[in-house]
Amino acid sequence: MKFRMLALVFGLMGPQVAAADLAVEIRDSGGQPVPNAVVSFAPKFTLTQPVPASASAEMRQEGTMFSPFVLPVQVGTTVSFPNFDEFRHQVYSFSKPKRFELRLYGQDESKTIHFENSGVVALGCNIHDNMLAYIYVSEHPIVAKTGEDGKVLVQSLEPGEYDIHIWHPDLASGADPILKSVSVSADGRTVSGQINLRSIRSIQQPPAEDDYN
Amino acid sequence: MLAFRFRTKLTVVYLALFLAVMGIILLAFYRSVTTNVEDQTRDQLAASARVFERIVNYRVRTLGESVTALAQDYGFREALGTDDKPTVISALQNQARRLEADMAVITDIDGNPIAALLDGEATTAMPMISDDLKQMAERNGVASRMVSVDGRIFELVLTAVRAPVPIAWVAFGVELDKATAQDIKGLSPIELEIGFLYRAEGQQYQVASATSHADALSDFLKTSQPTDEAFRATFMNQEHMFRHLSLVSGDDGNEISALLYYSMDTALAPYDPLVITMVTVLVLSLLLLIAGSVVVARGVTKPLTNLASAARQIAEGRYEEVETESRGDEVADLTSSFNQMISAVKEREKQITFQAYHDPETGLRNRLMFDKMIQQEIDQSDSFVLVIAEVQQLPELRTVLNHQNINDLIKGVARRIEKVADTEVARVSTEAFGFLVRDAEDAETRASLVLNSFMTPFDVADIVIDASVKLGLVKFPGDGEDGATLLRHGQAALDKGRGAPRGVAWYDPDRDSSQKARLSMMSELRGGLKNGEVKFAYQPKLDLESGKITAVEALIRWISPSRGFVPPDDFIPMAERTGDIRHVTDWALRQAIMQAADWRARGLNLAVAVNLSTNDLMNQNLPAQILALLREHDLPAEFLKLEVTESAVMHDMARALDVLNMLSAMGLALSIDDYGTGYSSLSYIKKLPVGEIKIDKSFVLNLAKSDEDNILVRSTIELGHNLGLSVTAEGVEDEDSIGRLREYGCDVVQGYHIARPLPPAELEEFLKESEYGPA
Repeated sequence: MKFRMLALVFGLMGPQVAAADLAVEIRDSGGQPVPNAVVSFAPKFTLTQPVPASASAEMRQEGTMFSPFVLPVQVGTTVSFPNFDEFRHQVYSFSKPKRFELRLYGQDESKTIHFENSGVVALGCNIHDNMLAYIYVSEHPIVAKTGEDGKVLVQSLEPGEYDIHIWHPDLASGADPILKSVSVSADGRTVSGQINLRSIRSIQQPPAEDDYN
Repeated sequence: MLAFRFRTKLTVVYLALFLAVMGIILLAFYRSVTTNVEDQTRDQLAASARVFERIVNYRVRTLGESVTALAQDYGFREALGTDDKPTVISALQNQARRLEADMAVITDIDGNPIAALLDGEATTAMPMISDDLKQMAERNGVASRMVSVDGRIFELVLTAVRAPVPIAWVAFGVELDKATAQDIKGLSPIELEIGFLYRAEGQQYQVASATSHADALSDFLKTSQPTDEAFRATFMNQEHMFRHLSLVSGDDGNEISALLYYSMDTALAPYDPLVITMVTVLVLSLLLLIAGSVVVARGVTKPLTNLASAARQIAEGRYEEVETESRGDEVADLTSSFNQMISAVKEREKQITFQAYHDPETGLRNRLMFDKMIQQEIDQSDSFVLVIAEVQQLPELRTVLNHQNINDLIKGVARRIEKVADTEVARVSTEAFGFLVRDAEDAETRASLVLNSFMTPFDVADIVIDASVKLGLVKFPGDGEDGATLLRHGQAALDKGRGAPRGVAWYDPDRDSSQKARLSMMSELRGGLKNGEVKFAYQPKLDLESGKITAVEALIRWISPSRGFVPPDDFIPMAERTGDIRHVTDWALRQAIMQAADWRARGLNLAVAVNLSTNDLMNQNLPAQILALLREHDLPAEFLKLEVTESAVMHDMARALDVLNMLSAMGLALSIDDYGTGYSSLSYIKKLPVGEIKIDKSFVLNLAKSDEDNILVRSTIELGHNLGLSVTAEGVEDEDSIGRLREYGCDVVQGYHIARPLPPAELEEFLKESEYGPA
């Protein structure tokens, strides 16, 4: 199995005393930006002000696709699964953190699932094989996901030491790569690291043109 | 023989050509069939290989769809997702049964086995599922690969189970077993065989399964491993064509392949009836060809055989023209030429026969023809008479007539005899004719008529020629039983007839037998000349003028032990006729010269006179012979005298004159002996170089009694003297005769009154005592 190399580039930006905005950029070895990478921060100190947990998140089904492809949430988040298609979906997961099955709900119908365990939950639709999405349930207080440009800006980080966990759908099996004891301070600096990805990319295919219309 | 050979040749040539052509055809046929079958087989094997690939692809696709279906089955995925192993295994079994898959395997996403089924039963034998196969499955949804497990080959189809991310690998396998092979075989138009082979890296191919004879194939592979894609080899004692189809040649070194093969014998089998038909056609054509060529050859050889038999007939003397059925071809030409040849040969033989049986000069029937006539007469008649007629005077006539005249005369004679005797005449010798008279009674009359007819002279080239004829008659049967005898006896009768008064004589057997006795006498004479039986007696010749004996005549005396005294008249004429006279002359000359030389040596000067015969006078070598003898014995020529008779000279006067002139020139004295019994013509004697004539004793013996003889002797002596010749009288037997002869002027006398012929010793004695002894 071949591995793609991902280069993680951390740029800590912004001179703030109390908090810092952290820009994270992930590129592969070819210099291409890597989207849908989840970056989570495990502070090695007690946060002075707890990060407000986002109580809810949404995994839409729209155009026979999940949206977003990767949804990072914190433990204890309830995710709703609204259906915007005019036909039914049957969303399921056999992933260990959360096994569930949302049977055949219709348009504009929304179901919610509460994720109490951390881990990666792979989502599929029993009706539409092409549909694929991941819910990354993180036990860390700060979670972010790179955009199409492979960048994410984490705002208002308390300076201090963090373990930074990186996850991506194409990660080879095994534990998530962790950048240990990264010190986030007010002065900007760059940290780099490397993780292995599978050669075959896990991506959600759009539905075949005439398949379901 | 020739016909047979020719026929054989023709047949063999046809046969060889036919066989060559047939050989080329058969070879071309065999090559074409073999190449064709090989090509077909090769194509079929290739086609079957494609069919095989297609079948495998089809099975893979079907299996792939089923595997995909299973992998997407929600319940199955749920069971997997929830680690419900019993459910997973039972679902796997269920699906495997439904798909008739021989193998089913499921592993987790990392390749750790979850469950494996072989022939519906759980097993621990796991096929090797390589990472690249997994990648291929992930990329294409389904991936297939042949794998070998426990000596069996499976087509394995792999897919990932997604929930929705890959959570496990599931694979189904169908075995490439005998049934599979037979399925493929069933789709091939030819009865090919298929074997599935596998081998681990560095090892030999093993047989996984085969349509038939898997064990034999296994043994075969032990000795011949396939290396090429297509090859030929002997398998199960038959030539096979093989196609080796490599199915898997993995990175791990394991190889799986299919071996398709087909027996060439089987491939060629459909052509067997064709081959049998061709061989039958060949054999039949061969027989037809032989028969045909024999017929054709016979068409050519039959006329040839006819010609050959005609040629044999010609050899036997039968000239029959050859018939032929051919028209306008070579045989007809040949036959026509042959017939022309036959008529030409016939014509020529006629000429040759005519020439053989006729005298070329006169065209008369010849001696050969006469032999034939006699033989015919012997065969046809009970009795007949053979007549030999001899024309007289021919030697004399030759001196005055030319050749053509003689021939005309001969022809005239023959015509006259034919006319008179009313029969066919043949010329049996130069002077003699022969004819046959059927009526023996009539023979003498006819003979007389012939004799009389010669009274009339012949007119040849305006010359009137008198010719006479002498006849000899022989009777059949009696005087001879065959032609040769009759002719010989006819000659004998003619001999007798020559001396007969009427010139005709019948054959006399007694006379003939004495003739024979005389012939045997000649051989005795030759002996006698050598062994001393023959001697000379010498009769003195008295010279009347001198009263002395100056010469002697040597007279031959033969005392034969068996015959006693043989008179010279009995053997000298015979010796002249047989030619033996030559021996007598040789002996006589030598004896006489030796004797004369001997006497002269002893002071006795006597000339010796020797008698010469007609033959001697014809012998041109005689003078040289005498000269040699004289020199040998150193004797002067005057001591040898030679005496010749008139008739001897007259036989061929010209030649005799040559010899006599030569002898005279040598100084020899020549005498005419027996003067008065022959022509007695002084006119010709004067031409001869003789010095003496000897009056025959028949005139002298009765001189005392006969006046007539007295006149004759006296006139002869006078005539001789007138011609300058010495005259000797022989046969003087009394004193009275001597007196008369002396009176008549005779020069020399000889006779019993003086002395009988004496042997040399007695003669010498006589001369000593006699008053006539030489001075």
